[in-house]
Amino acid sequence: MIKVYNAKKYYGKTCGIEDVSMHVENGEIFGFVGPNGAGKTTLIRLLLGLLEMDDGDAFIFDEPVKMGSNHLNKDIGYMPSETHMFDDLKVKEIITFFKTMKKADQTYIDYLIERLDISLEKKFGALSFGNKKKIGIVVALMSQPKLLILDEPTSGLDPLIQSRFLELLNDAKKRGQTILLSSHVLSEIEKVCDRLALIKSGKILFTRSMKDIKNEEHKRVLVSPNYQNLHVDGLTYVKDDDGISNYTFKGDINQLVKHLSTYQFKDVTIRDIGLDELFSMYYEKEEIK
Amino acid sequence: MNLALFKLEFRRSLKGFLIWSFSLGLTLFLVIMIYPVVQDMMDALDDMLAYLESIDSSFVGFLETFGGIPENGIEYFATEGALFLQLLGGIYAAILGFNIIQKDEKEETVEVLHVLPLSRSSILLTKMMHVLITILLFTFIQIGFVHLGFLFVSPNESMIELWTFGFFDFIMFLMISYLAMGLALLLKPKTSPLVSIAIPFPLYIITMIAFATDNDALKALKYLSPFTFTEPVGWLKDHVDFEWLNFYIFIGLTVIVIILSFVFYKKRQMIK
Repeated sequence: MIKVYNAKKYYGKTCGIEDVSMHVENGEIFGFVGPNGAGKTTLIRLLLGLLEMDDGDAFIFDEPVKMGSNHLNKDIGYMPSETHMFDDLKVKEIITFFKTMKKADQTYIDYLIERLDISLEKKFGALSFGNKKKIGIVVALMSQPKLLILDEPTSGLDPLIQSRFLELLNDAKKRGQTILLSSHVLSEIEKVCDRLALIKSGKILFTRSMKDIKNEEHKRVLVSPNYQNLHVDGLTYVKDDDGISNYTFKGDINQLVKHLSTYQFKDVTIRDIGLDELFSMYYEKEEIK
Repeated sequence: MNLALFKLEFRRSLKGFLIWSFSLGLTLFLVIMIYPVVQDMMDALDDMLAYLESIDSSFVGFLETFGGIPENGIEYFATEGALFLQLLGGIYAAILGFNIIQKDEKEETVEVLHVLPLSRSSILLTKMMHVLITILLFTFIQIGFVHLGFLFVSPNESMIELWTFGFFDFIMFLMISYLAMGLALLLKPKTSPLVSIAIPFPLYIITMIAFATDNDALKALKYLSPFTFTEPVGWLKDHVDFEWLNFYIFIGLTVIVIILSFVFYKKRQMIK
C-alpha cells in the first residue's frame, strides 16, 4: 500500500527525515511513533505530495508519489495534527463542502457525527481544539477511503471520544481500509496497531509487529533498598534511582521470585514494561550510541 | 473549475466583499450627490479663474494637469470620484489576488485543500475565477452607485460612457489582482496581505506623474502602469485616444504572470 525508500528531506540545514525506508501492508494499521519533531509529519506530508523529497522514492497503491500531484487523493483520507478549516463557516457548511468534494455517503457521515457527538450549528472558529479535531476525523473518514493517514489524531480528544475513535479505526480495518497512524500516545498505538515504526531525529530506529513486541515483552523489577548484584538468568541491571535499583527481566518468573525471596528487601515490585518504557529504553540506547 | 470550491471561496470572502463594495460604493454615491453644490462653486470659480489667467496664463494649464474644471457630471466624477474608485478598488483587487495564494497558507487551510481530489491547477483556476467574479460584482456595484447618484442629481449624463469606463476599470483591477497573485507566489508563506499594496499604490503614482509632467522621459512612465489606459480625466473629460499600447503591455504581462503562477503553485511546498 505504502512503500518508502531512502526518503530524505531537509528544511535548509535542518533535518526533517534522513534515509527513511518503510512499508505499510494492505489492510493493516501501521503506527508511526516518535516524539514531537521526530519527523512524523514531514514523512506524512511527503507522502501526500505537500512537500518535495530531496532524495528517495515513495509509492502509494504502487503509484509514485509526486509533489503537487493529486491523482492519489481520491483514495486517501487525511487528518492533520492540527485541524485548520474555515473559521467563519458553520460546521455543517464545512462538512457539506467536503462531502461534495469527496462524494461521501451521508448515512456514514451522520453516523460519524452521532458517534463523535458533533455540534453542526457552531462556527468552526468558535470550537475548542478537541472539537476541531473531531471535524478533522469526520472529514478524513467520511468517504471510507482505501488509505487513511492520521497525524496525531487523538491529541486533545476527551477519553470517551478517544475510545470511540479507536473503535472507528477498528471498524475501518475490518472493512479492509489501511491506516497509517502517527502518534506519540503509545497506549493508542498498543490498542489498535498491527505493526509500528519508531522514529527519532528523522531516522527510523526499528519497525516491528506488535505481536513480536509483545512476545519479547520484558518485565521491570524494582528492589529497595538499592542492590546492583542480583544474578538470575534473564535479569539485567539498568540503573539506580532514588535508592531503588531498576532491572529488566525476561525469563522464568518463578525462578526470579525464588531468588528474590532469599534477600531481605524492604520492597520489591515486578511489573510489565509498557510501550512507553520500552521506547524510552530504545531512545536511551540511541542517545548512548 | 470546481463549483463547490468556488461557492466555498465566495462564502469565505463574502463579509470582506460586502464591506469593501458598500463602503466605497456609498462614498462614491455621496461624492456624486454633492455635485450640484460643487457645480455652483465651480461656476463661481470660473470668474476667479478668468481673472487668475489674465495675471498668469500658466495657472490654468497647471490646473488642467489635475483634471481642470469639470463642465458636466461625468467630468466631475472623472476629476473628483474616480480617484477613490481606482485607488481603493486597486488596493482591494490587490489584496484579493494576493489572498488567492496567501490566505490558505496563513490560515493553514492549505493542508486540507491540497489533499482534496482536485488538481492544484483546478484549485488555482477556481480561485482565480472567484476573484474575477468578485471584482466584476465589485466594479458593477461601484458604477451602479455612481449611476444611482447621477439619477438623483443629473439624470442627463452619458451613462454609456460611465459604464464603458467601469468595464475597463474592471479589467485593470483584474490585472492588479493577478499581478498580486504572482507576487504572493514569490514571497514566503504567511506574508501579510498589506504587502500587496506595493502594486497598486506606486503604479497609481506613476500614472499621476506621467500625466502631470512635460518631460518626455517621465511621460514614458505611463507604459509601466495599468492605471494609464483607464486614466479617468483622459477618458471621461478630455476624450483622448485609448492607450492601446499600455493596454497590450499589461494584457501580455498578466498572461505571463498567470502562466508562471500555475507553474509555481504546483511546486509550492507546505512549510510551516
